[in-house]
Amino acid sequence: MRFSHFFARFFDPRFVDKSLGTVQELIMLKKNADAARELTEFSRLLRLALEPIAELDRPANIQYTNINNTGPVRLGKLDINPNFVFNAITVIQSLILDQDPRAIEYLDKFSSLMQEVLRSADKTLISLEKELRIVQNYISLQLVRFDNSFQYFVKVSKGLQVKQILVPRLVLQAIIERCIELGTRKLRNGMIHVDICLAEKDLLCMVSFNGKPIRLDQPEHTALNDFTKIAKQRMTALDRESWSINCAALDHDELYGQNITLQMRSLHK
Amino acid sequence: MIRTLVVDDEPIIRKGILNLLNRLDDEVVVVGDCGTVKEALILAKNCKPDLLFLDINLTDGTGFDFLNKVKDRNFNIIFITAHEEFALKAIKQGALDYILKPIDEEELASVIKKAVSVHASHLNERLKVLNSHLEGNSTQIVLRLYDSFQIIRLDELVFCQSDAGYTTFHLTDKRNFTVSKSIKEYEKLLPDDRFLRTHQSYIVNLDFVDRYEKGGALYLKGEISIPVAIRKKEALLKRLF
Repeated sequence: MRFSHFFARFFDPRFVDKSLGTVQELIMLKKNADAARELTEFSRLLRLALEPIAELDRPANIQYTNINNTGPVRLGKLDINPNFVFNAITVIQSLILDQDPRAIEYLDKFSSLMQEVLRSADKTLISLEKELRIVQNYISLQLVRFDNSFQYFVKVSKGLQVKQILVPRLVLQAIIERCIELGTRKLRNGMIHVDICLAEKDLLCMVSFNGKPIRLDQPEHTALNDFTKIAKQRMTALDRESWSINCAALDHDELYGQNITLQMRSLHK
Repeated sequence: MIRTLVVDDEPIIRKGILNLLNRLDDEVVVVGDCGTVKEALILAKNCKPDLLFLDINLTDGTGFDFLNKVKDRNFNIIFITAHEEFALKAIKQGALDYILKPIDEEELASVIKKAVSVHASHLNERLKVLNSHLEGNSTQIVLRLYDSFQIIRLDELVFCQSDAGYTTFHLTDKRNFTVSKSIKEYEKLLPDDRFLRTHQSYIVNLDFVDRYEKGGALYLKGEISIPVAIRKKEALLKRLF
């Protein structure tokens, strides 16, 4: 009974809000050990919820039900790398135990990222504004995690109506994630530069960064967490002909070194 | 006293682990911490740890790289991992201990207790298994039994049978071993080009199949009858014929 209850509530963003809110209150009350414990409990539930239900070792007397009856809750529902999620939670736990004042700020960002992702879970397209907010939150969390080892700039060309323009959900985020995980995180002076503009009927997202070269055709990179595959899945809202992702190494550019370009027909609300 | 070394490439998380270890037990003494394979090799040599907490992703390589390079291993290892399917599979196959991030205090206490009760010399055998799996040519798995570590060669394993959270391994020489883990864990571990889960409670080694009767019964060599779930029938036939 208890578990079905949790499953039903878990993917409700309000549950995330409430649960992480409790952690925050405990920190405010300087009950850091309790806060850390509450957070570990949250993470345990999250891990349970992320496993396909059929795979769980469930005692026979417990019935698992999903609130929408849409079948087992799956990893895909969260759409964000579980490695990142659990590492982020671990960072928060560490900050709490260390009584680091950044704990609350980090917790806030993590909570709003999770909620933003969960709220848009049933959509394939979201506004560019929302996607950028997710990306901003994501990057600033990673910055704390990697001790500010990289810098980033996001440039949106003037006059771009970020509220009206629609983009496939979490594609830009997936690109940034690849840049950080495979490139900049291993450097002391990493750089990520995001440039978004319109080119005639297309929306262009250019991401330049330095670090270990990413080659989309290399099996070791594609096998682990195939970002092009993820991108493709998330691009289903568009015809195959109307978008492309390209990856290039810029030998002449020492600062950035590499470039991933996402080009797609621009869509409006 | 348990001399402990912590290897994790994220400074904040490392600090968190140290924090947890410090509040845990007087027995545990942290003798060093670092975030790279290079530093870990130096510290492992000079600090003489009994126990090592090892992250998978390190700045200049992986925890597995460290294990391949380190000489004179006299310490136990507990892997720390967030959620890496591939790595977790390799670790489980070698029956090495691991702890998931974020770290639960109680779980931490219990893995440490378990680690120190096992002599480090057992470890080399298990690391060999881990390595063979990482190289993608695993020929054996290790079962953690009550008082020993049992190596099972995959070409001797006929089938696995589960019963209420326990799994029994049946070997060609009629021996069998029971462990208190669910069959689901082993389904992930056993190479799927050779093993198939034919039923909720059974995994069979396809090399030992004798015949499949049209009525839906599967027989292994030695007239062992194995149930086949209706929804697994198609997958089984595809693999057999």
